[in-house]
Amino acid sequence: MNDTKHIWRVFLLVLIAIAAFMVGRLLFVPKTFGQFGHYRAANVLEQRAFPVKYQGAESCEPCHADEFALWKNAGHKTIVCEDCHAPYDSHIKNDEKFADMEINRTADFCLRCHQKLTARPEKFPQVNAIEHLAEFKMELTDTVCFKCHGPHDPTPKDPIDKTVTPKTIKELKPK
Amino acid sequence: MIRRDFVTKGLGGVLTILISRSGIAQALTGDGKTGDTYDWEQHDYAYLIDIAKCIGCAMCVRACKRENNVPDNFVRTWIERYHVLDFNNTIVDSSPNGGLEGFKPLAEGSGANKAFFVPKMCNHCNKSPCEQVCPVGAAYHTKEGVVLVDPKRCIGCGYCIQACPFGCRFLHPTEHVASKCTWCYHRITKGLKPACVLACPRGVRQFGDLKDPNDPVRKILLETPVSVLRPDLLTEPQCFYLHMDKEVR
Repeated sequence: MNDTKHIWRVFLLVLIAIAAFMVGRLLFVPKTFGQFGHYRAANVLEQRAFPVKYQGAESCEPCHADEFALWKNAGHKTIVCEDCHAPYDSHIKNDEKFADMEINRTADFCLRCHQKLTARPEKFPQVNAIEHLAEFKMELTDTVCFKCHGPHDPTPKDPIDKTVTPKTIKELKPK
Repeated sequence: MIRRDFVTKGLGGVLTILISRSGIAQALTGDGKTGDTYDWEQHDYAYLIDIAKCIGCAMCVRACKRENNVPDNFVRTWIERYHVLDFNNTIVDSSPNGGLEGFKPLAEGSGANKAFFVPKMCNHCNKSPCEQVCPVGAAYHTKEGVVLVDPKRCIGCGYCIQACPFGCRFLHPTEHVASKCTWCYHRITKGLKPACVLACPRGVRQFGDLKDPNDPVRKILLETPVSVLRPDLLTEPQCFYLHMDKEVR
């Protein structure tokens, strides 16, 4: 019977197609694809292996105990060191300092939080910088905030500028 | 020293696992053989944002950028400022760069009846449109409920970027793949908080685990009225908001 020959040919073609599909799948579908869903499971571990940069304030304490203690007991204690400085990993590598830590002293940086804005919660301490400085006969310059406010302990201190005495602060700001 | 050991052992463990297929299941459930006891089946994460506390300092945006090497002119989380002047008259700005450099006073918004900042980020929706449209299985959900992008699978077609109703995704300018917030997956799987949560000085941003019975965020979500962005879209966002105004969209 000649017909069986045809059936075998079709059968063979289908078999080849299936084999090609299987080989193609093996080659093109990544190894862990579909293990937990329609994705490559290995990527979950790759994502986990991404390096951590922000280490939190406790990582600064061993070397900067004084600043840490000052900061921990003052008004800025909710701001982690790395907010105003830079991530731990830009300063320390393999437990050793390899670069200077970034320090932001600009008034602009202070005003990120303390510039008076209508959208800010009213109770949050905020000032119109120019008016606030005018009270003390000062002008808005780059590092002017640090004349009275420490970054780690922002409670107003005697101004370094000797023309403004603590007495005048009291007179100007009764509270 | 402990950290170094942790990193070297961890990396070694990851490499050995990558070789064997069955090893991945073990590594993900943290059987301890790899030195990593983190089990992805034991967590279900949620994010909580309290709008009333936000001062718009955008330390979160800054920290996210640095932690995740987010390219210039793109953000994974950003701050929007709303000035509600009248009915149907609200000014929304997020300038510049998602608030990365902080906000300056807005002259037109000075007469606002109410004004507030709204931090935004990927909502890690339970029914995320971005995952559904991905043609290559690059966008996916981990068992903890984190939506991630596999950069090796992504072909950069941008369907997910169009599909996301919250505008949380962008095409990475040099890698040419979709990129987005991962809830700092590399941090949370080590028991750390996402960088934005760590950086927030006001406790606006909180990260919690719904499978942990003592979790404060779980408690708030259970006991306090909370809302989500665009609930009408039925995407089931896992970022929840406290004190959200109707103007927020």
